[in-house]
Amino acid sequence: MAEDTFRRLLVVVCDLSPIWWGKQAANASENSDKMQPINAFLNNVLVFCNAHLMMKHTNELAIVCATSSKSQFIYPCPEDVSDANGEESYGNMDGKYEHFATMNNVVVDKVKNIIEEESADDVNLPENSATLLAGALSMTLCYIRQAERNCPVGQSMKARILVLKGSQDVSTQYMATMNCIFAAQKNNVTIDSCLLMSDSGFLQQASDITGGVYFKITKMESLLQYLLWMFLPDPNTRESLVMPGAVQIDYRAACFCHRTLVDIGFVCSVCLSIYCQLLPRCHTCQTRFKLPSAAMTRPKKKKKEKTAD
Amino acid sequence: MAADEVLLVSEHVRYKKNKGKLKLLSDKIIWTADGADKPRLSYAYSDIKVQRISPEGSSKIQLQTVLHDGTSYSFHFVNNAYSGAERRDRDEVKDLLAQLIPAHRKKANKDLEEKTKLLQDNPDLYQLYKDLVVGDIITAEEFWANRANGQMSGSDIGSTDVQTIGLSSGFLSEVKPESSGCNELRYNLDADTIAAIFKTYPAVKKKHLENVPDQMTEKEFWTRFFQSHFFHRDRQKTSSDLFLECANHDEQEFLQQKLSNFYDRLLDISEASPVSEQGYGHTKSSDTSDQKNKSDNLFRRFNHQSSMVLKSYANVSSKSVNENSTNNEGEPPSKQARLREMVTYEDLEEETTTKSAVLKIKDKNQFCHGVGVETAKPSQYDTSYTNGTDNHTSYTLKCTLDVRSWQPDLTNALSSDCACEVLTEFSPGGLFMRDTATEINNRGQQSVHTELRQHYNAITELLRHFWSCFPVTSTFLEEKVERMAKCLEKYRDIKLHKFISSLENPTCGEHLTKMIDIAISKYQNLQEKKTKIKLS
Repeated sequence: MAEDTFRRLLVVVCDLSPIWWGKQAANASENSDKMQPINAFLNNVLVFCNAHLMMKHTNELAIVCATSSKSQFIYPCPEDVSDANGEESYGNMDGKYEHFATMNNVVVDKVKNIIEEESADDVNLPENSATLLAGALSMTLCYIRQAERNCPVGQSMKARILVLKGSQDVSTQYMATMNCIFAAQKNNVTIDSCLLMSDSGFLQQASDITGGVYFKITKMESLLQYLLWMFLPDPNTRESLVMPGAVQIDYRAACFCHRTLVDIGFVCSVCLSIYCQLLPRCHTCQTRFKLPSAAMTRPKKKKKEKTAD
Repeated sequence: MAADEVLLVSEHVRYKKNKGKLKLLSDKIIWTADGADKPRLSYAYSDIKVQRISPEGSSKIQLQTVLHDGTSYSFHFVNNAYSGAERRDRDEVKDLLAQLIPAHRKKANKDLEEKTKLLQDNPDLYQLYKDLVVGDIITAEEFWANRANGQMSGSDIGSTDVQTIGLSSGFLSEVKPESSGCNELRYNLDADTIAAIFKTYPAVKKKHLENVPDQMTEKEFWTRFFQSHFFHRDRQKTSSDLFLECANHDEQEFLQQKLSNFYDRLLDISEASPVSEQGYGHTKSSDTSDQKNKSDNLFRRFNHQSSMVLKSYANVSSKSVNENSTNNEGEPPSKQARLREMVTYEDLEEETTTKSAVLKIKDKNQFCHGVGVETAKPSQYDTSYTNGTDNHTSYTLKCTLDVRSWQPDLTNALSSDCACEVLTEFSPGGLFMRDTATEINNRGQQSVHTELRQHYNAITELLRHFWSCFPVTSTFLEEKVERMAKCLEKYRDIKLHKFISSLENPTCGEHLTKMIDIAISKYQNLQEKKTKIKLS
């Protein structure tokens, strides 16, 4: 079976920004009774991850979660591998497939830890509240590289990333994020993006460049169905499926000087740095530019002379 | 050839009892009545089906031309200058016509062939032709008049790479002798066969040039050629044979050619071969006294013949190439390249490094992560989250509490209602599949698209005819404008209306009608102006 030579690695990058989830919870609390959004979200993600593992025994999974202070692997967890006893202690209580049970338990523990840590840290650093998407993507790409290297002989790794993100883009991360996206493209890693409630320009570009699917979800309660429907099939399978049409992609770049998204910018002709205003000298490569105003005045004068004659 | 070059003028020709002049132009025949300016009769040679002359001995000396459409014109030659003058006139005309009619018919056929080929090669054009010409909207001449330029260039391209016809390998055996009488064979040679023989046996050509006019007649030469050729087959040497020399010459040339073909600086196969008596077949066998094998001879002749055939083709094609590559001892560039390839080693060559400008980056870190500006104003992100009474801390706290109480409940992650809702969204025509649904529909509308394109083609073609008439300077253009305007109206009323009414979305055809309307209003303006001028 030729199919068996591929190991499909799915890395799920979850945005677990406590501020964003807290806000969702606050909004949802009016019609309470239901499960808290973050808990529902985590349940959905776990089901989805189980589904991915269930598709084939060679399928592999990793989960990274990003908050505003750090990005961290929650599965597979480097610390838990060391104490193998801990794994058994989770037990096999309800006849669940062990692999799933272990994963679920690891994820639950780690997520709780992270959020606790985050809440402790966050009080100290209230203004730095952006989710560290670029960091999480970098870690993911490193992990994929490593997994590809460790792949058994005769098999090859097909990796893709699924980003689940709710919080908004921060233009200060533009450079780092774009670098990650291009690195992913170079490594043939597809980035799928599932946006919760709001659009993201970065991820639109990421999915477009790497050939993934970009999808914005507004009905959080149906998240799992969207995930299973759109993101469970791997990119090869998607070719034979009818997927929703492409979205309008926001290709705006952030300038190097102020990190703001610009509609029309100035690009250094030497090093391709982007600026939001005309500069006499490129900050990055120190190239001096001739100001166009000086060049413009000459022909005008000549014209005037001609008309005078 | 100018269109109205006069090839022959025959005065004193009567047509329907009127006196006049018959003129043969380069492409048509005209008859002008005496005293009249304009020719009364004028028709192209290509229209003539056949010409007839009055029988010998009849009182009237006449010439009749029958056209393809069945009409016929009879000319009565009445030259009284001397007896038989009328016959002489008639015969002059008849002979010239006999040349011109087939020539023009051939040309017409060629034109027709070219046109059909053009139509076959270009389906769009064919559709246009069907729409406009077959639908009687414009005439075929008008249609082709516009294509004339393109067509000419096309035929030019065709004429540049004339290919010489190759020789049939069995052409000699096809020249079958007919036995007539006792012990006599008769060969029928035509020009093609002779050319083929010359091509295959250059030595024979040489001999022919040397001998034929002075020393023997053509017939004698060929008789001897055939006699000798059979001789040549058996390779029995008799000194009296004229073609013995030819055979030797052929053999020499064959050897030389083979050697020249295989000449290679890297391989020397003309040297004595390690295995004697073989020589790879390229060295002349050293002992001539040995009677050669008959099959050897046969092979040799076959090889020679085919190499000559190939050569006759290669001569034509390589002539132009060779002109450029006569430098360097006449070695073809491909050979030089091969030589170079054999004697050069890439890894021994000096490394050529192209020096590119180095990008000077002041701070690499800065380049990768952008200019570190800590003065960045607080992003919109922060403001959006700090508005109102809520702040980060309370949100974080809420979230933390939520997660603390989290117990995974995977079986209830999704309600079936929600799942169904999403499924309908993803079904064709659903919320997210609207684009794809129209895509699928579009595929069904392919035929409509092609039809629309055809209409565009046809209408733009007509409009091109229409607008090319402006400014209207001659009566011809005036007529054409009028005709085109009528054509456009006709097209709009007959074809376009039907098409648009069949469309689901009539806006598709709006642009077409608009284009026609503009043209027609322009035409009406023109008409109004004309009437005004007439009135004033």
